[in-house]
Amino acid sequence: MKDEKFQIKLNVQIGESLDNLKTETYSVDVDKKMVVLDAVHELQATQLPELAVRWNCKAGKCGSCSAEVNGKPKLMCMSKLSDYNLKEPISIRPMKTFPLIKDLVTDVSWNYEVNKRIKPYNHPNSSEYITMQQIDVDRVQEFRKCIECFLCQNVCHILRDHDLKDKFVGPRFLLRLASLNMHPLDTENRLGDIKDEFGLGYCNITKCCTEVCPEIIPITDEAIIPLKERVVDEFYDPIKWFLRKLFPKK
Amino acid sequence: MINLELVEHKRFENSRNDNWWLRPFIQALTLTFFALYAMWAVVFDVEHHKSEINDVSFVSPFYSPEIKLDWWPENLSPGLILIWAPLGFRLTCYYARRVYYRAFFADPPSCAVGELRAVANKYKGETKLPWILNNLHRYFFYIAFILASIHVFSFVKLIVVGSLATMEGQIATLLLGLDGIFLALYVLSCHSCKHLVGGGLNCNSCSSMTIKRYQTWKFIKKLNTKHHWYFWLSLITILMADMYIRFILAAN
Repeated sequence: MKDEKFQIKLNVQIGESLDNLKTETYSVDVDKKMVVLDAVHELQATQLPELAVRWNCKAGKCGSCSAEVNGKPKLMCMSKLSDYNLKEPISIRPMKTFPLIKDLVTDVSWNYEVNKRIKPYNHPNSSEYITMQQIDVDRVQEFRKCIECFLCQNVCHILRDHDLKDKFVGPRFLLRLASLNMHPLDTENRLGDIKDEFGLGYCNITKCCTEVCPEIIPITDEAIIPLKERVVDEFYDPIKWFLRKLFPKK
Repeated sequence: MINLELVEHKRFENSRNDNWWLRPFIQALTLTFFALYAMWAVVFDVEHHKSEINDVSFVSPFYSPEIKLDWWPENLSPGLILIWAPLGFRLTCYYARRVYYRAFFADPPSCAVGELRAVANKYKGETKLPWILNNLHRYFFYIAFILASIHVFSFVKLIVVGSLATMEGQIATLLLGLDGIFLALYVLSCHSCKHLVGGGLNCNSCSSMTIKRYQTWKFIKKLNTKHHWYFWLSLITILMADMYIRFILAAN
């Protein structure tokens, strides 16, 4: 059975520099099974062929079509039109935290530069074959679901509003640091870097990163807060410090 | 190389079309009411914190456990002897931090909503005083654990000494029981507790002890997903138990 087409209004930000940014409202033919990305493609196909929009898999796994739909950071391909009030225009903006390239496309390359600063996994110097148990990697596996859509980076107020990109690496990379720090075999100690260079203390746990994560990773509860607790163990807990002095690791 | 610019920041700037301000507003009102009530109950209305029904004493949770210090000044409320501990636990609680940073400091007021102070760009997060003191949360957890255990023990003791003989006693016991249960759940589901029981381990399968710690961690993790509920429920039940004890005194 063919779905009935009907019209909705899309309020889209277009332009490629701050001087010529404008938001225009367009009427677009859609059906109720579509997602926001389909509506944007329809707009591009019928009225605005020069509209810049980044997308790839349309299955919520590549993390390319990140944008702000009605002001909330979302993957456009995972935002069903039926979830919105279609009597009102749907506003679509690019991610605010990153520099604008054109229309809905932003430059997220800063994230890749941050990633390079993180010391990689360091395997123990042993010829012995090591078998890991599932209970040792449960936590770390959950973090591997990240698709690097950078919605968490976009919504983090430290990067978005305070623009402290030189001091704070953002939730995506705290998640990566947590996965390395909690790895049962990794031998690298990164806690000093996590505290100072990567700016863990800037996070004030407002949990927006967790709220927007399309993979539903509990970024704050399972990565950032445990990292904070590990930093407390190492740098702020006088009893632990005393015990380390009393019983140093061999 | 293209030189790209960031969009300018404006206070409370957002393109959300929902009532994003409603939750922080309600939370700010609720916490302000609780803070004012707690201050009145602990500092100003000292005499009405304990009522007796059939020789059974019901003590307001704000004053429990009752501690008597010989050197404590008479003009200072005895409620102040211990109130700093639960207060410190709640102020440094990871969930409470989320609530008050949003509700009272608009830092941020809600997700993807511009901040009040972003223009000044002096944000230091929890790297400097006073917020760096939030790292002391685990010490408040140790004390809160003892206090919550005492609240649960007091509830059991009330039933043993016959608090259920009258209707008023039954209601007071129920409210004090709920206070003890939700306080215990709030403390046990704490993120620091989760870390201390097993969250700090990397090798869970290394020994029988680490396996036990891992299993306990999994249990606390389940409780932890409801930590926010226990935060609010324990606040509400403390308030209700205190109000009811004062109500009994006023009615008699």
